[in-house]
Amino acid sequence: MKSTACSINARPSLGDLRDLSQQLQRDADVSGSSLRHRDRRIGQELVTCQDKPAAQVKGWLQEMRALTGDLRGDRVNVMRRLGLLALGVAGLFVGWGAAAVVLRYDGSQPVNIIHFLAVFVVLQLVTLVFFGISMLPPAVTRFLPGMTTAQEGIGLLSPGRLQHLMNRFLPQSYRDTTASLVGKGLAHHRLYGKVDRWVVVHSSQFFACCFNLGALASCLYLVTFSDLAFSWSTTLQLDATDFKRWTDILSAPWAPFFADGRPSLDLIERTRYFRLNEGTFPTSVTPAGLGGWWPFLVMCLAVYGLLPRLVTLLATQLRLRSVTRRTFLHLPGVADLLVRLNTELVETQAAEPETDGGPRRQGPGTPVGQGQMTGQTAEVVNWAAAADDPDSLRARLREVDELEVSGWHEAGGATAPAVDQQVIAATSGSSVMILVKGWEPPMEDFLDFLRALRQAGDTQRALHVTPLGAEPNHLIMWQKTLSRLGDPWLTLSRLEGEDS
Amino acid sequence: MSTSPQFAVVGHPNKGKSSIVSTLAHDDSVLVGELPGTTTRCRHFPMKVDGEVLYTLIDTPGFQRARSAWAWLQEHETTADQRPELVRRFVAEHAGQGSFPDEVELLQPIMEGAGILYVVDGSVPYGPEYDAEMEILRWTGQPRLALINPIGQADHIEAWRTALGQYFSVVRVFNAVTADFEKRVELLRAFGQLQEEWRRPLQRAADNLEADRRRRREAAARTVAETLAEMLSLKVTRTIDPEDEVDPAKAELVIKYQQRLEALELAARQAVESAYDHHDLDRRESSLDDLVAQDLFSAESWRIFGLSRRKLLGIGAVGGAAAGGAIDLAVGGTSFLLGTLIGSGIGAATTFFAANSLVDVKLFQIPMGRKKLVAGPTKNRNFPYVVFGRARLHHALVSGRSHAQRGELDLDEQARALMPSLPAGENRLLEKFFSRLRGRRDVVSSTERLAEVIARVFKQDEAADS
Repeated sequence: MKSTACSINARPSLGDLRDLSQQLQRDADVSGSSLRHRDRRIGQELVTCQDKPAAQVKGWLQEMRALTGDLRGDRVNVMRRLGLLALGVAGLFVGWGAAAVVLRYDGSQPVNIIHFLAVFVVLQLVTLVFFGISMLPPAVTRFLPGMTTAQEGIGLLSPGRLQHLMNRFLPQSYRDTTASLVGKGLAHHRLYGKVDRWVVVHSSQFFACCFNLGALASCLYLVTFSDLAFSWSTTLQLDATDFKRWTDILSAPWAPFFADGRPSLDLIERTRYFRLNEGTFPTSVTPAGLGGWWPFLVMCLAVYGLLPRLVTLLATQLRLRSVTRRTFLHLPGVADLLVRLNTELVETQAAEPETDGGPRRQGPGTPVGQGQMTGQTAEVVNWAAAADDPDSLRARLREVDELEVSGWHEAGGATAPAVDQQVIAATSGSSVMILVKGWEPPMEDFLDFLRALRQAGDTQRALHVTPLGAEPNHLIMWQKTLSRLGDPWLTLSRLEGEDS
Repeated sequence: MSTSPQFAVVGHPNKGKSSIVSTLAHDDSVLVGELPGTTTRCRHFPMKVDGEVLYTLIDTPGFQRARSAWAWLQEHETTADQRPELVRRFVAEHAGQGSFPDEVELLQPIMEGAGILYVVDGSVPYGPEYDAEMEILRWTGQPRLALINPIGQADHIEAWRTALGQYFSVVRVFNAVTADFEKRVELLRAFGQLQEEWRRPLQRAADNLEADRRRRREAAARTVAETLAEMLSLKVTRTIDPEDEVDPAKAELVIKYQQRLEALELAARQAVESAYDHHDLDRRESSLDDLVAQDLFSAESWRIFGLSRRKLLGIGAVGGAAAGGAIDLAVGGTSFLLGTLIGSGIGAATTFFAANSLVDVKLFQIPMGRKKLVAGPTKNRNFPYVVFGRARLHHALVSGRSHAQRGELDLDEQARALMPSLPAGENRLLEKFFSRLRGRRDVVSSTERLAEVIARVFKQDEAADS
């Protein structure tokens, strides 16, 4: 992807959010090194989107979908659209039905405009106020006692919650994905809570819009295809002038450009209806005059019902989008992901896997003894100048360890390998004690010497390796290494007085 | 052949070559064996930035028959200018044969141009058996640096310096197990001194490692901040039937709540370790679960990691005073700082009476006679400090731990020695963001700001440690 402009749509959907969350949770079990490798490679392909984090994360998600093949956020989007469709259809039917009931006219009594205004203006304005309350941010509700409870109560009545209900009737595979749509069953619910809330609110506003559209369509249908007679009737002390004042207030938004939508005083006076005079209409009014209210009623429905809901639908749509985007970019793990995508991959680890030490480490055990040379006679080899004061050590061997030293030889260390051969030849008929530095590891050089020593002369003569100044861990090292030789006549000896 | 510098880490067996490589390469997969000859083949550790190799470390087998190899070279001795060629001949003649497998393996990369990092153990005496190794390395003609790696007590360093100084242009003491990040980068820069054309790539490598280190620290801080945010907003619920007893259900819910906290903490520990490329660390730490079962202000670990009641009162008073001070400012000082005084009193009192237990379980009646139990979020003021204190100690130990270090990570043992108290300013910031997260205010931005504060604290800890 080497184009100069970022071609990825930076707007994340709910399905993207769900997939991102799922993939980040999976990544929690992957090593940091693997993640850095994978994400830096993807980041280099998305270099044109470097200044657009949402687009970059979306691009990364596309790549992960292709890699894993089991991120099914698309189902969330499908279910969301299906849910909205179902809510929309329900809203249209309910709206149509409500208008049909309110505008029901069988010729016996006219349609009371007060009923219409109560249902389609006052009630809608009340629900709008409820909506306003439920939208108050915590910063405000904190100072208003009982407001949080009121918000929760209003929330329970929201038609958007029908989406949760519908989820129960879906197959299990879809139920899982839709559960994430409403933010359940996922980690980080504190972030999803907001998305969930705005999904419900947006769905509610969509339902309300469809309700008003249904009512408007029903109203227009009835006006067009039936002969409606409107009148107004109330028990309240309200005369035509008072009522005119109310209708003027209600029609103020459209009166300047749609005069027919404002009822005249004459129409109001002539269409007042008293139920005591059942079956009689004001005498002076013509049937056409009784229908003269419809432009006002349609405009009321459009302006006080549909229009505010269109505005709230748009506002909640934008808010849902913004909350989704914000959540998308602030899920735990996204900041780290962006760092991995955009910063150089620094690697220091091995290019090839570690192997163990190989066959060199195999072999039977050799017992570790102590003081086995007491009372014996032996040739002593001072390997690599292990004894830095040979004279005092010889004396000590004689006095403390009761060892008769028949010969003293220097080998290993700074001496040439040829000297080793001379020592081997010189000691071929006797038991041999080899003094070594306990703190130094036994190397192949020394093991070669031991092998050669064994092959020269009596194959069953005692060979004693005696580490000087060895700590317990050194002794283990010597014991294990010498065991590789598989020599039953070879022992690891310690001098008397040297602590093990 | 690669054009980037290569460094062969060579020496006697069991003198810490693999530890040095493990530490410098941040790779805990390197076998550090007790037995000599654990490493039998060269292993390459390229340092790459976006795939571009800036240098390569090569772990080599130790010398096993240096005396015999040196004897062979002496037998075939020629003029000084021909010595590298002679070593090359030695490698060519013995490659694939059984007599000098280790010497051939370790000399091969050197004869292909690698610099030499010769490792000795400064805790044991110098001995003449090392002379043959150093002579062979000298004959290769390659740039050489000696590292004295004291595996135990550093009792023989001066003797080693004297001996090594005769063969190597640079001699440094470097403890592979205890070296912190700064020392590792410093050593890397020293490699650049061996040859002029190596200076720039190694400088670039050091700069990249430092930037990478910063990113890892920030990632660890984000992990801790996000864990704290999750913990402070954690709520666990359970619905019970009308005939069920409430008290046992409450107790079970509290246990579930604590288990969730513990799981969050464990996940954070693993994420921080992974950020520093430590895998499968054997960690020993008191369980958070055990701690919260005790009185929060008296338990030893709470005392170590959290704040004393006096400190908490101080922070509460300062917070209250700030709020009261804002009122004084608003009325132009006509309140004669009464706002500040009252605010600080209220702040301290609120803190004093704040919840002492970790979590309360609330009971709600729901339709059909059922009951809903809700545990959390915690209101305990000391809780986030304890969680943060534990996370801070863990980070200090993990970030400072070299990859050559083996054995368990004992947090309990080191808790007492390694917890310097935070500056008052940082404590106030922590309280500010803890308070916001408790109140679920500005969760996203508070978490991000908290991560910044934590990253700063982590950096201070690292600086104090080095």
